Amino acid sequence: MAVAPTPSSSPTGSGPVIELADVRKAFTVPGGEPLTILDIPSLQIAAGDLVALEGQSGSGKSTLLNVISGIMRPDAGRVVIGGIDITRLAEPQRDRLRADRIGLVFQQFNLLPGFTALENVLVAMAFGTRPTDRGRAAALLTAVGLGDRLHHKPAALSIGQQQRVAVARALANRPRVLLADEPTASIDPAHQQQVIDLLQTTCRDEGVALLVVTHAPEVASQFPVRYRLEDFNRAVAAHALAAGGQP
Amino acid sequence: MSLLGIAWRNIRQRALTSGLTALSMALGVALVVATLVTGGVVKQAFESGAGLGYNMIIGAKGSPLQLVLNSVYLISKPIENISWQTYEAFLPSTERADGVDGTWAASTETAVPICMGDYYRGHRVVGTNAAYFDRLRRGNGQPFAFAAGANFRDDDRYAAVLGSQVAATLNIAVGDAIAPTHGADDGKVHDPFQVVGILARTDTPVDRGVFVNMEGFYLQDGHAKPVAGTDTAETAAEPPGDGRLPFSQREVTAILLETASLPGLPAELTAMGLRNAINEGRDAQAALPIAEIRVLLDLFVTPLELLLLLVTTLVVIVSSVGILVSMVGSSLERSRDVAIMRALGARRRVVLATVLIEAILLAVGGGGLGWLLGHAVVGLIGPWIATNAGVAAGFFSFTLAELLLVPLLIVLAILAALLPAVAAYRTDVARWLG
Repeated sequence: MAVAPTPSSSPTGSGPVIELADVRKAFTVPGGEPLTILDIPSLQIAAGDLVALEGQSGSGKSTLLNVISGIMRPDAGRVVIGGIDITRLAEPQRDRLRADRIGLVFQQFNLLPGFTALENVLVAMAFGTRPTDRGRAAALLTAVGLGDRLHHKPAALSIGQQQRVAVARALANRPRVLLADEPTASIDPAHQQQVIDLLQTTCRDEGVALLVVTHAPEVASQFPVRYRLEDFNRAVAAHALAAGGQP
Repeated sequence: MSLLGIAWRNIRQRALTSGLTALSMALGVALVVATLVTGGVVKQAFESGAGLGYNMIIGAKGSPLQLVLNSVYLISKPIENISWQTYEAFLPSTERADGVDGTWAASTETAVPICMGDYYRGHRVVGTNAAYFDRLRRGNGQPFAFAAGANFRDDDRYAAVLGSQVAATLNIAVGDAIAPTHGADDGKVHDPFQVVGILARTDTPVDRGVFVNMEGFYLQDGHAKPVAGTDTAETAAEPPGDGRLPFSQREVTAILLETASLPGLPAELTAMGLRNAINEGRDAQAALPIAEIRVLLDLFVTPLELLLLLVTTLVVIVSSVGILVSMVGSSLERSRDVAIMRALGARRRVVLATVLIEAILLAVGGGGLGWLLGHAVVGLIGPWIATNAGVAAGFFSFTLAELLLVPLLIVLAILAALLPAVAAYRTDVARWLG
């Protein structure tokens, strides 16, 4: 039986900033039957939580982040971010909410190659409702140890430095939630710890709820709150059953 | 960071592709601008050149267009000469030796004779009298102005006035002597004339003319009409001993005529009547410069200009397609960037606008560069145009049609960028970032 994390599981004890209820998402491949990827009865993450969500490849980790961030709309259920049910919002409103309240860090960093480190942070600010704050952008980059690399383009930065830019960019608009999709998967083991520490430290400092999805138990184990996606995504259990395995 | 800034950085990111696209656009626009400006300037010059204080030209029978081109624009070859008697027919009694009004004197306000056939270092020499600069106009009703010196006097037989371009090109100043050659630049060298005046720039064919007193012109070898037998009555009327060529030995190449209004008749009807009367005669023809130039423009210049414009417009359209190809070609790279921006919260219409702005920047940048290039080309070929067509064209020559280029370019750029912009609009974020 899947575990449904609740507010009570939050170490901070504050109200949920991410709340999913009966969320379902399926994909249909051409000529095939709909394949349910997400079937989550409940998931709640409180403000300030530092949460790792562990799951194997194909367990729906990235889809879950896309649904939480409003990039994808679930087929059913509610996704509430900071008290706003984003499933009721039109796409432009979800975009605006994502710009203002949600920071995203990707496995491949996804920096804009033609932009400097500073500009990568500034461009994120350009999509939010707050005025672009060049000083904050520089301060964020300085905070992640790139104060002397503001005007370097991604190609001139190391992998670890690029990921730090991505973290600074994710925090640009003072989000309430930071979603990180396999943030250490492209980094050598020597730098993985740095990125984990950076994410946790900056989110703690900024009071941001951090949700990291990862397939690596050694990464998940370093977070105060650790969930296994298989425990509360009923779609994973259903797939396992269909394959003749154990839920 | 504004959308403009984002679009600009996207362009910089693909500097080579963007640069080549803009260059392609620039070359197309340069072609259009050069065509527009040159065509416009030529047209303007021809049109303004047809209003220099005379409305009719009398010359030998033949092509009226050739008469106009030769007399007004100092290009083409003279048809033939007409007799002095024909010229005198337009003079009032006060200007004739016999004291009798000429046949057409009542219909004539001003009649200025010109004699052609000599050259000075590549420039046409025009024998005329002081009335050319005293009574004719340089255009728009403005009298001729002298940058140095003054007009020659009719009794100063070996005096010359130079157009501004001649003086500048040949570095001639007031007081210098010039010796025209007969028939061609390598023809027999005539007596020298002293430059007494240099005209201010008129932006008309006059700028490249060398004007000498026709009394001196007539006295040069080969300029007197050979006559058999004794002097005519008019020759007998010539004041003796003043050294001028007898009237019977004179011819003029053309007469620049300002017609007068006959009592009770509008000026147009007077001119039409005079023109018909002369053309029905055997001695000369009357050509209306404006009508001839209009025919020239309608027959050749305008269609040629339209054809060139069509070709160059096609070039610009091809350049716009270049923008499309460039942007579609980079769509793979762009899709990832667009997906990143969308993930950061950029709305679809924002990424659509970014792509359109990028295309507009390329078009406007390329167009601006092309505009400069086009004017630079006109500036470079300006002297050649001036020498060969008698039209002043330079870097700062401008036509109103150029103003249409900017909106046209923007529209073309938007059309060209619509496809990649819509593709950006429809970018699937999850697919590109997943």
